[in-house]
Amino acid sequence: MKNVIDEQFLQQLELFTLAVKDNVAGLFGGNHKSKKYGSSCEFADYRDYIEGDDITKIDWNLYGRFEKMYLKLFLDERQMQTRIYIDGSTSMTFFRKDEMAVRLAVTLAYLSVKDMDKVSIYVIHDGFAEPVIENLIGKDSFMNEIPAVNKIKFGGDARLSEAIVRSVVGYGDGRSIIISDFLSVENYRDAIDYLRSKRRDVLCLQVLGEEELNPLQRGRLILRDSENDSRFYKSNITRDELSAYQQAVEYVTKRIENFCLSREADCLLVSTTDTMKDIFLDKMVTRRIMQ
Amino acid sequence: MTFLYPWAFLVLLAIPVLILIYILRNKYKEETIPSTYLWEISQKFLKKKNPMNKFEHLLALIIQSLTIVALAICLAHPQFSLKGQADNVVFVLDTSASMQISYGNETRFDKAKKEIKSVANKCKDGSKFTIVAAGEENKTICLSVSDKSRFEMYLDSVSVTDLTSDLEEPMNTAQKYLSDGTANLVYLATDKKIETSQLENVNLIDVSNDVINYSIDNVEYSYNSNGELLVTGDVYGYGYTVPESVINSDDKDEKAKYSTSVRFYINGKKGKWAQVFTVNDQVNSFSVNLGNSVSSADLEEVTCVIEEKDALDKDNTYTVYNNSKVNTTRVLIVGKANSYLKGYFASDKSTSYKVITSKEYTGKEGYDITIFSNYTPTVLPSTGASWFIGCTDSVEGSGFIAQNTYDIEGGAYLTYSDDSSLLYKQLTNKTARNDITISQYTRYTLNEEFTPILTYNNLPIVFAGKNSSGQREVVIGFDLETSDFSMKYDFLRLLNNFTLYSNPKVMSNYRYDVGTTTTFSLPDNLEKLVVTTPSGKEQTVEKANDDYSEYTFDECGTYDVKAYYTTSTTSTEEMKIYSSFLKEEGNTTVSDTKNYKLAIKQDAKKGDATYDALLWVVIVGAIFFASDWILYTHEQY
Repeated sequence: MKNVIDEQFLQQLELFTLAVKDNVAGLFGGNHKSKKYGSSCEFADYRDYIEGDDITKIDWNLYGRFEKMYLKLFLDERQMQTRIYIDGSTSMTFFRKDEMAVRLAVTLAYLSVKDMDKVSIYVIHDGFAEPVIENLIGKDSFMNEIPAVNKIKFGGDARLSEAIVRSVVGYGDGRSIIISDFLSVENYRDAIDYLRSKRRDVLCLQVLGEEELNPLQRGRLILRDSENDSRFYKSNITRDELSAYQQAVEYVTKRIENFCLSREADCLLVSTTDTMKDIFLDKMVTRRIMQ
Repeated sequence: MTFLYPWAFLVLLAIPVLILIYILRNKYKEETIPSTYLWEISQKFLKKKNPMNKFEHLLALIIQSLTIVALAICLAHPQFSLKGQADNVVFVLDTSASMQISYGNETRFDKAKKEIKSVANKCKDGSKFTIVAAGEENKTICLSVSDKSRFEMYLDSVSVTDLTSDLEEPMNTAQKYLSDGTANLVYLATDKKIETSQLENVNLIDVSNDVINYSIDNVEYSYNSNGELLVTGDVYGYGYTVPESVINSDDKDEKAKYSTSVRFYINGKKGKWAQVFTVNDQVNSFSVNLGNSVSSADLEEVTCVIEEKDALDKDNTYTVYNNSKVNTTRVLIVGKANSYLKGYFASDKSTSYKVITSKEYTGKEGYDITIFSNYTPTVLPSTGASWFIGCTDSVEGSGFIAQNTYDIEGGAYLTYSDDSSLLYKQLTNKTARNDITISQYTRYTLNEEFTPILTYNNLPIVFAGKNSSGQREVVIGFDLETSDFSMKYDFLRLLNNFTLYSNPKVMSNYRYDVGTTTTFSLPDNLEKLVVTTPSGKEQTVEKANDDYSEYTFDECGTYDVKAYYTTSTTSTEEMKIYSSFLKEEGNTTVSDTKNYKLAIKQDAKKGDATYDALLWVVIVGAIFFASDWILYTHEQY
């Protein structure tokens, strides 16, 4: 496997876990709470005793008081299904965004497997979410199968909404993480809305290069779009142009953030110059994406 | 307007290059980026462009072009011409020894140069300057120099001398420049006191000042019968007045106030001192007994130094050297020696003599001078010079043939010949040109180039020169007993000159005043003389075919003369000569009474002044350059 993860860093991550907003309805035992009642130690509610119920769950204190039999209900612990979608378009090949995306995906995958959750990683090409790793459980399996991420190829177009809507997303059983630069006119909103309708926690990680945040271009330039040859921007780039660009960056990132906020989704802007430590132990903790 | 360096306008070729760069730079470059999405969005935030912004890059081009134009003009060095505003100035600068007298913390000469520089700097640019140095010789240092810094270089190259000066010649030169239109202004920088009434069309730069100066001169030494060293000399004082009452007084304390202290150094060692009452503007002699601590054989030099601090140090020292260790001339007289002849050699301390008979003579005696007196040898001496006095026969190899001997009834006068050669001058040096009577003479035919000294009816009677073997000869063609020659003053002078000629010492006198020209005798076995002046300059006098060489002492102080000989007996000989400061130049209150009234040419035209506009062009260029940078940084940042 490419050295995308620092083992020392992984040890630090053991202390943290990805926060989940809604209680999940997983099929297997995990470390996350489910809305259904189960056999955990955490008291949830009372209900009337019905013939055939487990008599060991009868609350005899209440019977002594009310001379009526009530059953104690406890929360059920369920397993989460984490699905990570990586934008595999050409724009991600610039400024080492692909590398950053893969590292983020691997780190998020580790965070999930260490909490006994299932992890799947997909790469989006055109309108399809191609599986890279599916239903990975446990650290041992993680270490064995994670090298598959090295085979991810970036290039071409990536229509996020189409791909995600088309894929199996699950229902209320975990978190969906989209890692992309979100630099397209394509409506990612549909993808987020869809995922939220499936009661999934959504985390959007916008990965941008330092050169995209603070461009170095000056003078008379024709800037061609890497994903669409017919699209270009022609101008004499001066101080005014650069100032307007900065405002555009702020506008776009704010727009994504506001939309995610309105959909109770998490959003984080990541620069390719940020360290994993800064992202996970600082930004994500501050935003309560990790706890 | 003119330009000093018009070729600098080639720099303007940079403008089309600049335009080409702009054209090429204005081309769009292509670049692929991840997404144009953000750039497209940024359009919405772009402020409305000022239509003038289109011309922003053109503005930069214009400013840069103007900067190049300003640079080209700077390099071309523009000058504006102002007709008839510039002067053409002649500076006559006195370089005499008295200009070394102090003027405050500097000398009069430095002060004069400073004043000249100040005058030149006040003149408008384009003025022309000429310097005429007034010294022993009149010399134009530079003519019509317009570059002030070059003029200052020329001025700095002029140095003061130890010689005297005459202002008449240089002022005549200045007049010549006024007359031919080279100049319209004359400045005279001198320390001689000149009244304004003596000048016309001459601006005086007066660097005279009232200061006190002492000088010492004419120092001599001798030994008395007790072997004690006696030193005499003269002290002079200038720039003050001793009251008559003090001069006539016997009060030692009063006189002490006007006395100078003279310290004596023997062979460089500090010795006694003496107080000399020094009356201004007159000779004040002293005579001091320095005891017998150093014998005459051991004495090398005596130096007298005036210890008072005064306006000029150079004339406060006088040194006398003892060069008597140089070879003594050995004289052999063969035959009947005239008593006056013997008497002369007996009195000359630089010679020693011996008399032998003709029978004893072999020709191998090895003397410096062999004198054949009334005897004609059969062979010439193997070494040294030969004198033939009263020889009536010929000697083989002598270079002359004796004809007949004639008696002159009633006697006849010998006359000095009209020869102008250096040898003749040397042989007749300091003679009084007495009449010499002879009653008998021998006629000779000269086969070699002899120099006649005394003639009778144009016949050479006394002559000198070299024979075919290069040996020096002196011939006196009559018996001394038949003439009154021995009793004349010229007898001693001529014998002295003949002796010096026959066995030449490079020089016999070791004290001169600055400016004196002497003649070095160049012995036959001399290879060269190397003269080192007081300032350290070395001058070489090659022997070649010359027997004499003239030399002028133009510096004050000690000259070292080293003679290199070809024979192994005496390979080198060293002498010290003292050239003393001219006492009249030590006089701080000298006046020049001549009139220097110059006439300016009627239609004398002034030159065209120039105004250097370089500074303004540099400022304008700097403004353009700064504007370009401001525009660039504004654009970029």
